[in-house]
Amino acid sequence: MGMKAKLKWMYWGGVSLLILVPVAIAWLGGDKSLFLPGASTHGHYQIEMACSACHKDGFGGGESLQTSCMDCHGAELKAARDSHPKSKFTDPRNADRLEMIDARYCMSCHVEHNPQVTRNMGVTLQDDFCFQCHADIAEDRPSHKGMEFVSCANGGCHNYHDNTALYEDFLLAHQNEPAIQAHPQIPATNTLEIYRAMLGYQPQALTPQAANAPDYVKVAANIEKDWGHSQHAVAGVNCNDCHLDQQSKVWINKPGQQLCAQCHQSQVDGFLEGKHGMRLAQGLSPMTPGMARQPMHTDSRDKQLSCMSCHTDHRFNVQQAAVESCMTCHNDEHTNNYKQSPHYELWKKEQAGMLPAGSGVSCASCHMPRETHKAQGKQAVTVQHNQNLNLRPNEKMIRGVCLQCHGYEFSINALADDALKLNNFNGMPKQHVESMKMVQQRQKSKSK
Amino acid sequence: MKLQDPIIVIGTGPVGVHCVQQIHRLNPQQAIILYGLESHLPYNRIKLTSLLSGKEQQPDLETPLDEIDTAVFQLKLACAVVDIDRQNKIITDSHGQQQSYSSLILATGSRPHIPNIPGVDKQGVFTLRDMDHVQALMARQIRSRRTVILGGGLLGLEAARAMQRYNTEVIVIDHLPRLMSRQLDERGSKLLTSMIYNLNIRLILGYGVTHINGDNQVKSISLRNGKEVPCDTVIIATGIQPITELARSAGLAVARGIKINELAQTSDENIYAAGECAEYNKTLYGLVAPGLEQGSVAVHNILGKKAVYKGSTEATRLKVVGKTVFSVGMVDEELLDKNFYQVIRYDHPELNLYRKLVFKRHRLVGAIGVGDWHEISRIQEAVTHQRMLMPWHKKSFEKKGFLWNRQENDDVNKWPASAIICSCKGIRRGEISGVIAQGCQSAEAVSKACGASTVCGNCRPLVERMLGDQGKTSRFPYSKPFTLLSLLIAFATVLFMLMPAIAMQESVQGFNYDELWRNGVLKQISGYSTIALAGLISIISIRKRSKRFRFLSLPVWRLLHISLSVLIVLLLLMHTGLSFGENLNQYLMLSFLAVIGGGVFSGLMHGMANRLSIGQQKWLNKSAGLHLLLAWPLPVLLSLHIFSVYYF
Repeated sequence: MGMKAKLKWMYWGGVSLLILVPVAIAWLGGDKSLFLPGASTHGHYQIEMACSACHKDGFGGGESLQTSCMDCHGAELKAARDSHPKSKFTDPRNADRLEMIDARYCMSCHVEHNPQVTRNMGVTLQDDFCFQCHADIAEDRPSHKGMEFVSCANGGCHNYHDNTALYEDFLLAHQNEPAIQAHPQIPATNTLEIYRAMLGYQPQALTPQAANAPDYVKVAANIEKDWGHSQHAVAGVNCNDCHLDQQSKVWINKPGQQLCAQCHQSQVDGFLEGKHGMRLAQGLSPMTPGMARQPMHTDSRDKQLSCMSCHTDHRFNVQQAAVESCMTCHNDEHTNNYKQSPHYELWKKEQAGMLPAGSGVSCASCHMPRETHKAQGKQAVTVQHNQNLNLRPNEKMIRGVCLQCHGYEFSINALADDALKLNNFNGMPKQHVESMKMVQQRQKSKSK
Repeated sequence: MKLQDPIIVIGTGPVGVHCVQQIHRLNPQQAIILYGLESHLPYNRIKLTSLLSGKEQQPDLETPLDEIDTAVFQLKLACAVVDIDRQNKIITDSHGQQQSYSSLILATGSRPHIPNIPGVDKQGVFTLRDMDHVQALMARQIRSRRTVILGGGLLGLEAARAMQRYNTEVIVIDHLPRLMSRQLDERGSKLLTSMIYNLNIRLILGYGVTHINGDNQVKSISLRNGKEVPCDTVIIATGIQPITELARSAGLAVARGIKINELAQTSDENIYAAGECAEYNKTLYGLVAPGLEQGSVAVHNILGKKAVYKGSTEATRLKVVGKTVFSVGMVDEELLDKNFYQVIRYDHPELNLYRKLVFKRHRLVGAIGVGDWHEISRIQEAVTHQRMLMPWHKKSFEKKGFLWNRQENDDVNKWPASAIICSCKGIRRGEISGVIAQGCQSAEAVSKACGASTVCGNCRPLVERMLGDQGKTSRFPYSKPFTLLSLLIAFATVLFMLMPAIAMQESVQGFNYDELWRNGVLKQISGYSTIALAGLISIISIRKRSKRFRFLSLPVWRLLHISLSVLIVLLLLMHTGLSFGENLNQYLMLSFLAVIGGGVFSGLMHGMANRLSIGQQKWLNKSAGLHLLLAWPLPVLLSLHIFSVYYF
């Protein structure tokens, strides 16, 4: 090789290094943004820079990614009684269907970083994907004859995964219900009761004077006052319970969510799973309204989301957290119309004591619904802090939220009415979902 | 037949002939009369020693002027001009005939300088200046057993070599202690001496000749140190003497030669002088090239075209010893002021190589080369123009003996347009490129068209190299497909950049072309096919450079390259769906498009290559180089792309 050729190769090496070295430095420093092939879906964009959240092992391939999907969404799918579970497709009888869509893997339908093909619910398949396996549905169900395949999931009748409120028996059980139930009320939370059961005794309620902050911490008078009137004081939870590190006994000025989790484990878990806390869960900086893709108030764009951002210390007023906290940041039509809605009227009346507790409908009533489960041998009613759990598609809200006060048909029609959703359910639904009628007709023809 | 107001040229030597040719070239209607003292048709004086050595035959030397129409040109041989009537602008020739002139060029040349040594008039003493001398020597050559040559200059050495033709013993004698003392320095002379010695030419240096002995016939010569050297033939080559008698009798200003100004004019504005008879700025030039320059200047000024003579850089080349001995410009270190001049050498006696460069403030002003040196022509050009040289050129010279790298030199077409190729006629690279571009396809045609390589012939290899493969077959066939395919790719590429990404289909029913971008397997197929094809067509780069890999000719490779490129653009479309992607993918895509753009440019250049001049054709290589340069980041970006696809 001549000198000139050698020099050329050296130049080439130099050019290559010029590209490779900064890439390598960024990679080792944890910045892999160069490799981001496209904007992520609404579900994952907050954590797109934490590559390893999903891409756990390099060169892991599909199986590894599938594991990552299931780590976060597996429990939810199970709880939703997924109508297309993996088990259905590992059954050899369905092998031919996998040719069309390999339904064993989430990524067959939900490809990330591909905004060009991403549709509602992060689906990257065409809207009429049901056709692939159910092309002959009209033979089975003559009532479906002539229906467009795009309408399967969009018409409010079906949901690929979540079947909790969309199966025939459930519809039949809820047929002929009135628009508003006889006792439109949501259950009250019983966190204090459960807490006491956990302790096994009844701690005394504390007064502001009983605050036990160490001497070297100067506690402002209004903080003592706020705490003294809070449920924490009632439950006997003193300064040190939250502010003192359990191991080192060092005072922590601003305790994080892990301290709250000492008593509110399920709430913190939900928070970290939802859009408010998913960045914290990945070890990233807290979410701020500025990062959001939805409309937010500009003056709150730099607020950092934590437990305290909604449950303002030291009052921890859950009424405020249920409405006002949401509205400080969210600035979309649905939110801004809330205060003109009948739901808010009820909420105001409940706050004024004109209606029994649980009659009002706050933001949280729907988006952070109260759930009942067993804890400390009791029926515990806690707030689901994953605000995203019953959204997208919103039929997921019917069973856990709407039916507490409304009839089934009214609920499903209301959720199908886009205008109604925007004006925050101010009026009667104008859409009509046929599913109830179809179920009833089928029932009739069966019994004949 | 009487010509009206002709230009009269006196002297049929190279300068006289050159003047006639120049006048005719510049103005074919101009009447010309050429007077010559000799009875021979004009011939190439430079090659007389070649004739003597038997290397060339007499017809090879003739420089006939038959291409000039006799309606405007008269050649008068054996017809000396004896008088010039400047007042009436009339000359009288040796036949007593008178001829008026509009302008007169004196190219009377010189005669040998005969030193004042007793016995120089004896039989067996020869000079070597014109055809008659050579013919006499050729007769003598056969019988001579021992020839002594007086004078160790250019002519003396050439004569010595020529006289060896029939195994004659040859002795060169010079009163100076070294050979070619005007052109070489001491180191150069020393190396030349040893080379001459190896040719079995005896040298006696440092002693003058006092007597030439013998009755009628030369028997021996006596040296100043008292020694006597027996010999039967003596050739005097001790320099020249300008022929100025005619000028002197006409009352022109004459010093050692006929004095000329920067317009090549003598003291009479209608009379010009050029060649060895002329003296410019107190300098006499004993070489042909300056004479031709002066002749050209004279002709231009006579014909009303402005030209100015500023003196010549003397360049000599001696080829008799089998190796080149070359000298140009200022080389005598004793005359140089050390404060302003820098001398660098490349001295390898064991390789019979000695080279020296003289710089004045980093400008090359002189050079000596003993032993073959392929850069000579270019160095001569650099000295003539006193070109500035870069430090790395000097470094390279000190280390390897070469100023420029081999490739730069080998491609004569890459030399500066002002580089003199034919130093005799002062014809530059640009002019030769010009006549080649006009359709000259052989060295003969080039010589005929511009006169290059018609005098000493040293530059003929350069002219042949300039012609390259031209004249055989075109180096760039398939120009039409090239242009069409380039335009096709250009069109596709522009579409690529302007069109939005191809929309994904809304329905799974029917034929799904968007499977191309949804299906990982198809993506890998299109991706790897692109890489494979790109790899395949870049083999052209190896074909172009490798000495071992010669499969298919380069034009065929080029056609393959560009045809498959069309496929690559299609594959790229299949792989990306016109989407640029983001971040790394976007960079990769841009890099790819840049390479394609560079390729289109190069393709279009190659498409019209045949219409480009030799000078412009260097852009072909540059465009291909740009194409390659743009491709350089591609392997890295591609590797990162592939890595990321499998990593994540």
